[in-house]
Amino acid sequence: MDNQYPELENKNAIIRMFHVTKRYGAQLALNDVSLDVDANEFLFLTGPSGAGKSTLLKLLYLADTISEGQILLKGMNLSRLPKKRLPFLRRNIGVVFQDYKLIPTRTVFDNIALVMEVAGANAKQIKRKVGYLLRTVEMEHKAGAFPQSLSGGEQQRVAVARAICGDPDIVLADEPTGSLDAESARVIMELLFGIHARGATVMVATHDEALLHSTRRRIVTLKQGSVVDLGL
Amino acid sequence: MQPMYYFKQALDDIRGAKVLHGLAISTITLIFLLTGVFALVFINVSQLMTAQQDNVRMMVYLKSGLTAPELGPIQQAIEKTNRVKSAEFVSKDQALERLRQSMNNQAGLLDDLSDNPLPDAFEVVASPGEGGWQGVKMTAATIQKISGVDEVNFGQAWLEKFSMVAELSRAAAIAIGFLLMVAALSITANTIRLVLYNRRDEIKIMELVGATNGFIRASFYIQGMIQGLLGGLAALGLLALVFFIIVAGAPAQELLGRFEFQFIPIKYCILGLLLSVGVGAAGCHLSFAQFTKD
Repeated sequence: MDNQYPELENKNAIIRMFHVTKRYGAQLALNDVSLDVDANEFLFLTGPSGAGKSTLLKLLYLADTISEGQILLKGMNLSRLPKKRLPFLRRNIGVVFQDYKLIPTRTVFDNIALVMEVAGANAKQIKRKVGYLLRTVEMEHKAGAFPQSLSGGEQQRVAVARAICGDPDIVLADEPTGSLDAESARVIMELLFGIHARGATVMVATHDEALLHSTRRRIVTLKQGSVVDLGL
Repeated sequence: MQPMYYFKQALDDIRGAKVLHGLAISTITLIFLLTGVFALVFINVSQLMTAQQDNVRMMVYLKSGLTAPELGPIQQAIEKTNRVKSAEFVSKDQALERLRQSMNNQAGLLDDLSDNPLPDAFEVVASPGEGGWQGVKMTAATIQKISGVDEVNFGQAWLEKFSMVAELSRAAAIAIGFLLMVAALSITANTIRLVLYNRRDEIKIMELVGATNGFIRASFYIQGMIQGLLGGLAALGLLALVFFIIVAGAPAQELLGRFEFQFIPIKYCILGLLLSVGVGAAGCHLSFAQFTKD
């Protein structure tokens, strides 16, 4: 007998969106979006400004709630997730923001360490892991610096280090190279490819055409809140 | 749980907003200082009352014309009365001599008296114990019924008024203390609220990286408690300084003679400090409730 709901069958998917709609008042930010992202997939999300890329990512990193539809993250239905469980699910998601969102009153080291502190790691574990990440993003010499003394590229490298500090299964990057020069952008993308190579699912929102075509990855295109190309 | 992390974070926050926290701590100090002054007044008034009640002196005036053999049974009857510690006979001549001494320069006025108008009396010392003023009254009433006794006087009007004033001061101290605590609570809440609004972006980031509510709140609670504790300690220190230099010094002692002023007992000092810490934590709780609502 044929499965009545073939769309429900995808055992590899780590992110599943079913007919997701998001409204801000009368404004429709996302309209009936359905999308599956497989575990360990590297995917670009593109579209013009206002297409809904950032809104979609916001829903996935639980900064906002959907108006209609369902989202499954690692098999968990976000609409039914108890509020208490939210922080623990968020620890599985690393986020790289376009505006970095580093805490200005904390040093580079402390900004990265925050993720582990939140998860209850001890000082020794934190020192070892953050030290390793600082070397990976080539920011070891700036460990004691505050974010405002760093360039945009340096801040974004710190943001990437923070995003992967907790060894998340999913990394979401919202225009991670948007305000960077070509060299800084290349470094950031290499870091994201590296994270993917180590097993994480990576979703990058960008409208940078050069970046999209520099690599053969799946590209999902949004336009006016709707998916116009799933890139399959 | 990472107590050291929370503590460090709280201290960093206090260092980052020194003026704000300094103002809050100063205000809490002032409030607890005022509360301490009330507590000090109340404790010493109570102490004074207790000292008065411990040994109540009564004058038992006798009817005129009693003979010496009649005095013995009266004294025995008085001494057998409940709560009486001692009864000492004061003859009318001794009473006149005492009066003369107490009148100092004006003692000459007594020389014109043709007859001694004062009665014989017993000076009775009673200890009311658990019964308080009611016990004293009952003792006086019993003595009054003894044959040969004319009048019993123990300054009840003054002592009852004094007792009432002490009760009122206790109620006032509790009410004012309560109002001052509410003020301290509100100040702590407002300070933490300002810090919270100042750090709302940081709090948002912490939430996004998976911080639980408890993790976010802990350092703020510690800040509130540190504020309260520092305010409480400063108030206690200032109160002790003022008390030991001025109040317990010579001028006040001259005023009240043998009565010794007491500082707030150590257990109440500790209770006050715990209260100041509690006020800090409760203030933080209130500000979080408001912050979450906003």
